[in-house]
Amino acid sequence: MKLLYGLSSSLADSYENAVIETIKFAIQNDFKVVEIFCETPDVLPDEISDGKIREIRELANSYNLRIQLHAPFHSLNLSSFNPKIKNVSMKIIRDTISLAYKLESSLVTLHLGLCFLPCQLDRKKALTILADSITDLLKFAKNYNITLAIENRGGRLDLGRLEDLLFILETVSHENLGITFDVVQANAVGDPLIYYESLKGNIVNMHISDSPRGKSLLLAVGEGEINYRELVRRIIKDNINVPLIFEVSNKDKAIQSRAVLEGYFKEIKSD
Amino acid sequence: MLIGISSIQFFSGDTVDTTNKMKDFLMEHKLNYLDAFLIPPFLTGEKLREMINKMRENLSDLRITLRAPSFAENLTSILKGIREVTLEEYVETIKLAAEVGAEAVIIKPGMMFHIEKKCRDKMLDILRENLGFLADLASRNNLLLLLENYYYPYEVLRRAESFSYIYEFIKEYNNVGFALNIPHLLETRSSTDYLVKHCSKKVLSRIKLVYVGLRPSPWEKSNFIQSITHSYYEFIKLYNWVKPDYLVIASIDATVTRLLMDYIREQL
Repeated sequence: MKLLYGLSSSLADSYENAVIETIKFAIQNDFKVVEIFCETPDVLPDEISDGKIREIRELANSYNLRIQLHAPFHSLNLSSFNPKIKNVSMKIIRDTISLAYKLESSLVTLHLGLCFLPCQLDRKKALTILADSITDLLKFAKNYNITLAIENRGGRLDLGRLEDLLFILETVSHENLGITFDVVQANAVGDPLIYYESLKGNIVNMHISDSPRGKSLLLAVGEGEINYRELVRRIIKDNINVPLIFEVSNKDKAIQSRAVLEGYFKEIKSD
Repeated sequence: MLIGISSIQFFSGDTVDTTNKMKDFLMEHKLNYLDAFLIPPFLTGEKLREMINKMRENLSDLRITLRAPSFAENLTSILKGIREVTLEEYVETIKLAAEVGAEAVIIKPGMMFHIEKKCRDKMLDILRENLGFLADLASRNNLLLLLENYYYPYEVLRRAESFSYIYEFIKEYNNVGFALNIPHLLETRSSTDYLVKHCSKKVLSRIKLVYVGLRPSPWEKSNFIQSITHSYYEFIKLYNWVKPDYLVIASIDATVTRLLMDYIREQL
């Protein structure tokens, strides 16, 4: 078993050419996966040009780089009680799934939604709306053979706590549904290892960064308080071979993080 | 200054029941002003028309301001679809306001997250254009268009400094001003003193409506009952400097509304 390291395009310095910059950096530094954050001007799902799609696909293919997508999430709400907001959010996610297909990618990560007043007063109904939205999106994604990975979130207004994810997994049982386990978001609201244990059977992707306990900063692995050594031990034990995508504050921290994780990996394997 | 309440207090429930409760509350407290917060599907344009017609049977002098849907809405999103839906909702709110005889429409100017901040100039150009369009539409319908401050870190209108900044966008439109949400202002670790100190008289004169309620936000579920005092005290301080046309007491809890109303009426 080898760990599969990747980069998020949110690490790029340039926001207008974030994806190509990230892909080139990944190639130069031997990362195997790039997760394209589809909220930069170069890759907005309903605006990206055919030329840009071709450029990304050809560059990635020529270096055997795996591409996966992170759908836009700011201002989107798949659990909105307001049909207009829910529908536009669904459209943007569907556009992202179509883009994933064009980029020959098989994984799209998405956030569940936001919990404003209607949801705060009736969370159960918000989760029911959300389950319907995810069900519809999975039907659409299945046509393209794309897996949707819902991500845990720790923000005050976010849906995406452990119990929300478990509800969706139970309600919307589907072969194309998985989890993107964001370690630092779990750390913001609890113990990442508890999240891991509860979700491990469904994890298809991971977001990696470090932070002090109770926070969600974008530090390099080893700079915060998350017990990554134990997490790596469990990943090896459970044979979870999914992309580990560095979502840190800059590219140097990604290289630093990989070195630390690789050190843990070798230590544990040699024990 | 017209003192009224927000429809948020009567957030859910069926239309007839909600209408009766609103009407009874207003009459019990000798009020004739309602700030109606459109929250589809709970309060839609269709329901509002029905409610207002019914309420005017007993409250013929009922005055109304209309708060557009304002949760995930974002006029400065990098995502065109989000901007378009937001603009569409705001346009519909202005048209509805004209139809039901409301006096003002309250909107949220926008949010700029990491990416929007990186292309700030472009997003602000879009905001300026959208505000101009909405201001003209409101003007043609004899309506005030009021921009409300929020407290989340990514809000376009947030701290005192941003009132001065956004004023530059709106100063040419006489019908455009601010709806100052005091709980939101306090959540930014600011105060009305700070606002008065850092904004010119011209900027302050554009504050036409003030919201008081619980922190962190009247538009969220909150148990921070002690913040009644913060909200009330900050409003009284502000009132020495700014005389808004409208004061809205906004809470989902009728007891909070009553307490705030009693405090404020005692002082004014």
